[in-house]
Amino acid sequence: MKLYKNYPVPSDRMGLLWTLSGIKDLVLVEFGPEGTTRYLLESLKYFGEEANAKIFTTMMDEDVVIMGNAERLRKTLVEVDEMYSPEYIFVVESSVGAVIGMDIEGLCREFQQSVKAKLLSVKGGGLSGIWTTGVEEALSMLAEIAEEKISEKENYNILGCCADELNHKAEADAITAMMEKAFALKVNCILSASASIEDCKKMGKSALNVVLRKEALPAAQTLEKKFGTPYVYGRPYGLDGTQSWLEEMEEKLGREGNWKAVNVEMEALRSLILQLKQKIEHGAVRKLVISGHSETVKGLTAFASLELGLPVLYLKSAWSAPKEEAAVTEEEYRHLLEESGTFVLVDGLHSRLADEKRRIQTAHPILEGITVPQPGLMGIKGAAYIVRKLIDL
Amino acid sequence: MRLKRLSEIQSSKDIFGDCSAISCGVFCPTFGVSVCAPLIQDGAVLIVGTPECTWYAKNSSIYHAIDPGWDRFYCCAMEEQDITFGENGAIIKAICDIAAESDIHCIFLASTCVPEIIGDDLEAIAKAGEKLSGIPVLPVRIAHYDHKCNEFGVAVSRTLESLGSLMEAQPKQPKTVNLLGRNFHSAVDGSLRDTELVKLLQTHGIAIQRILPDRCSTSELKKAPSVALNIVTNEVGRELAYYMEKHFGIPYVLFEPSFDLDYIRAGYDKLQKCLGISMEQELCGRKREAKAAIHNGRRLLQGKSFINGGRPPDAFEAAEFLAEMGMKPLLIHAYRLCENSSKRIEKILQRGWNPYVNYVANPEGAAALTEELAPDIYIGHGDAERLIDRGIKQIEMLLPPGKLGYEAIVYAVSALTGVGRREFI
Repeated sequence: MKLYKNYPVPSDRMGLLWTLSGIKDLVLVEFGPEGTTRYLLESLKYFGEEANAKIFTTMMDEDVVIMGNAERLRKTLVEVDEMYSPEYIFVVESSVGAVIGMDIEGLCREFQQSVKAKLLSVKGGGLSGIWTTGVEEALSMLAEIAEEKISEKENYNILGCCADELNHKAEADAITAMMEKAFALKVNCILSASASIEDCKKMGKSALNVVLRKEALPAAQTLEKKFGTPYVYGRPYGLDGTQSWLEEMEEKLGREGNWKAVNVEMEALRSLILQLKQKIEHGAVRKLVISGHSETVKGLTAFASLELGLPVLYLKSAWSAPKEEAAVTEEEYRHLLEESGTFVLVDGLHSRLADEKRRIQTAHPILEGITVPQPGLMGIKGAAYIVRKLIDL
Repeated sequence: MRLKRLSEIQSSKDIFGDCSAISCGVFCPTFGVSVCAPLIQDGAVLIVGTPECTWYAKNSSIYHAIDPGWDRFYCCAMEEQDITFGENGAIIKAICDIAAESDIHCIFLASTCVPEIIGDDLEAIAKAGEKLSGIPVLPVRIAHYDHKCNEFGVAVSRTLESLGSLMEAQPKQPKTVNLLGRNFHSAVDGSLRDTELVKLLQTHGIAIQRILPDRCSTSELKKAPSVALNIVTNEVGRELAYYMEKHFGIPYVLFEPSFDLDYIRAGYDKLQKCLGISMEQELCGRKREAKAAIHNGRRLLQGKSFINGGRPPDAFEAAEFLAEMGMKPLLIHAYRLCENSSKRIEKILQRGWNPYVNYVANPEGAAALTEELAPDIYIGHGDAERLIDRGIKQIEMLLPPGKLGYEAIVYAVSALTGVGRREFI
């Protein structure tokens, strides 16, 4: 058992539910006490989101906990099936269900004959993994839904754009704008920020899958195996980062991008970076502290250190996985904030310790008076936003 | 229609949604601890449970606590081996680590569903932790599957009760009172300090020593038993009142939010008697105002239909009050039966009304019904735009936290009739 002063690391179940909640027409039934479902809906609110999926709980009381009575689950499934006629019902185990040993898979098999929808069971109850495992499982389950085998490949999917990441929809906007400009390609399905069950089914129709996080790789591999769709894994941070990301797209798509359209923005960013470098030479910007999801940290660190030449110190995010090594302690972070020339790209809890001029928020939580509207940090526009903030320091 | 009619409601179990599936659910009891315990400003909170339960509890302390105390809110997140082999001293170690912070003078130790199911002995852990750390450790047992702790209000009550162990016997100061219990629904809309009750007491030389739960220190809590009387201003304060009567001999008076003229009068009578004051003149005036409001309300609201959304006070009491003003109840969103609910239900039925009853935490269950019933007024949370589109007037809350006594009636009627907003009715 571990003691946490900040957030504990969210469980696999939480990641799974946050991810599935984005899918329209998806019906999800939790076999558990009421409170966690309410909390799930509340947490989405704090992420600046609302559930697109229909989310239900069976409730669980002492009858279930002591006697193991699953009748409530059967009734709930039958009613939800009748009311919404969904194609799939995701049946999710709770921690209480897992501890008392309810066999959710067996129950789904047993109740399958009572409902028209296909029951997909999710075991575990959040006792064995961290949230990213759940994100991966949810994305993989959704990829399995893809079924339409159409030879015409006319669009692309974004995989791994989920509610656990701050501003994830703005990041998707940045990607879709670039893909449109560079390749005149429209997005089909943004998994899971903006997708329906129908979109998931049509994922095989796409020419390419853009994978934003490693948790989406198994989903991409499933789609590659099923439909032969290639994928590009990575995030476009910074000027060079975005350029090489677009080059990889070209390679996978087998055609040249419209660099003329993209270059105008790239040139503007290049001159902004030159301006910033002068400030860095004069000591106005000395170091960056970065925290957030691992791939955000990785991408931003590469941009800052390789392209801008700024030293980067890593700070453990308020709820990042415990395995990550923290380069600076909380105390050191506070000291760094007192030094001139320090700029931070950090999560919400750490953001509140820095004044607005010297911070960009990279991860949840969204806090009133702290979190400000900002564009996605990926792509050329995202990089320009970061550079401008640094110039203004 | 699966929903029961009011006449069929015999117990809390009869109150359910239009389907078995709950579309939202009530707040977990950890929420109650998260909003209440951090108000003790030199206290820390330690929640023990799965990563999910502790994460959400911490999150609630950030988003919902009035005095968030983020940095005093800790989590012990269980891993699989803790569930299989028990906590193995980890909680006691956590208590000692927290206590090492110099400004922490007590620790609330709250358990959730899983430690309760596997049988971690919270009381024993608290005692051992207290011995080793040298500061009081207050166990608060909360498990959401337990029928006795099925919502966050119960957790607030248990957190409050745990404060009793921090208190010490004091010489009694005449003409001082504590107010025990507070409504955490939309707490920003008013404070107990602004209520009719407090203003009247203060006019008559009665000092309010402590409002619990509210911001205070452990040393202030220690002195809480110096009062002549405790006033229970919300049901969540009852257990602490019983505790303080038993351990410190402090009598209490129940004076909870109500629309019942007789209940309010009886409460004021007891207060006058216990405190040796007379507020008769003011009370007569206040009661007159409340009666006039009811009279006025009856004239304006007669025949209007309503759906009551289950906000405080008791949903059935509110419905009965509105029915007495000639309004027609179509649907009552309720959570459970309270001690006087049966009496209230009887009165509504006697008036010839037999509305549907829906479980308040399952709004989806009755969403379609709201449109079908097409009430004149909807009271409570709801899809404001949708209600407006259908010409249904909405009042978010009939009774905010800052209204207690006769003023509650005046406020509610004025909210319903839209005094100052003539277009409302």
